[in-house]
Amino acid sequence: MSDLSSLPVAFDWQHPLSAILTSDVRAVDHLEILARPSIARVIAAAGESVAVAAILGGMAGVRAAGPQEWIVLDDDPQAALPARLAERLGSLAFVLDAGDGEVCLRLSGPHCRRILAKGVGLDLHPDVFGLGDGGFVLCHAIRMHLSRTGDNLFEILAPRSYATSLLDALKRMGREFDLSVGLSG
Amino acid sequence: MASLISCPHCGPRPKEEFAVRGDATLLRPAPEASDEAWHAYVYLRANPRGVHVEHWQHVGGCRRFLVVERNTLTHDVLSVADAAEVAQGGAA
Ligand SMILES: [Zn+2]
Repeated sequence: MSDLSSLPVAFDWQHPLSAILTSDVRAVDHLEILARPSIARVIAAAGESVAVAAILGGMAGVRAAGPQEWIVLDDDPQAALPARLAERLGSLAFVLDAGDGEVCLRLSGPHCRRILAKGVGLDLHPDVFGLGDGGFVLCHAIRMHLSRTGDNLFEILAPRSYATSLLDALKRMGREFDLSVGLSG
Repeated sequence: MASLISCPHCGPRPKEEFAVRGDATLLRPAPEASDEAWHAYVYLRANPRGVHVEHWQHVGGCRRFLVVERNTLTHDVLSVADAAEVAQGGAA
C-alpha cells in the first residue's frame, strides 16, 4: 500500500490566459484580465428567491444572472466568498465555488459599447442597460456573463475553457479602437 | 423566423441565442392510452401555416424553457412566456 499522506496538498494553478501576449501600452480602451478573483454562483432554493435577493442586496459584488440566480465576485482570491455565502444563506440557496471555473475580464473605455456591439446582440445604450444590469449573453457563439459595473465599464465572466477563444474574439472586436489587453496585478 | 425573441427574463434577444424544442401544444396521453394516441404524440407533427405555439429554450441566456407563440407566415412573435409558469398556470 502506498502512503497517501505523501500526496501533495497544494497543486499548481495556472491562469488559462497566462501565456497570452499583453499590450506594451495601455490604450484608452482597455481589457483587464483579473488574476484570480473569488467567484460564487448562487441559485435560490425553490420559493426562496425573494429572501435570497434581500440578503444579497446588502452585499457588494453581486451580479444578476437570470431568474433566481446570482454571481458574487470579490477581486481578492483570499476572500473565501463561497464559504461565507454558504454560511450566510444556509438552506435558502445553493452556493457553488466558481473561482477556478471562470475567468473574469473588465472592458473599459469610451468605445466599450461599440466594441461589445460587434459580438453581443444586446442593446447596451446607457438608458437601456443601466448600472448594475447584467445577464448571460452569447458572444461569438460563447455563452458569457456580461454586467455593467461603471459608466464605461463592463465585466465579463466566461468558463475558463473558453477563455482563449473569447479573448481572441474580444481582441478582434476591439481592433478598430486599438484595444489594449493586460493582466491585473 | 423573426430575428428577435423577447425573453421574459432577459429582454429582446437575437434568435441565435435560442434553440427550438418543438410543438408546445401536444398533450401527453394517459399511460394506458391506445397505440394510435401514443404514436400520434411521439411521431406526428403538424406544420401549420400561420400561428403556432412552440417550446424554445434560451440556451445562450437564462437557459429557461419558454413557450413562444409565433406566426410561421409573417414571422411575427406574438407572445413569449416562461414554460414553468405556463405549466403551473395550466394555460397552453
Ligand atoms: Zn432568457
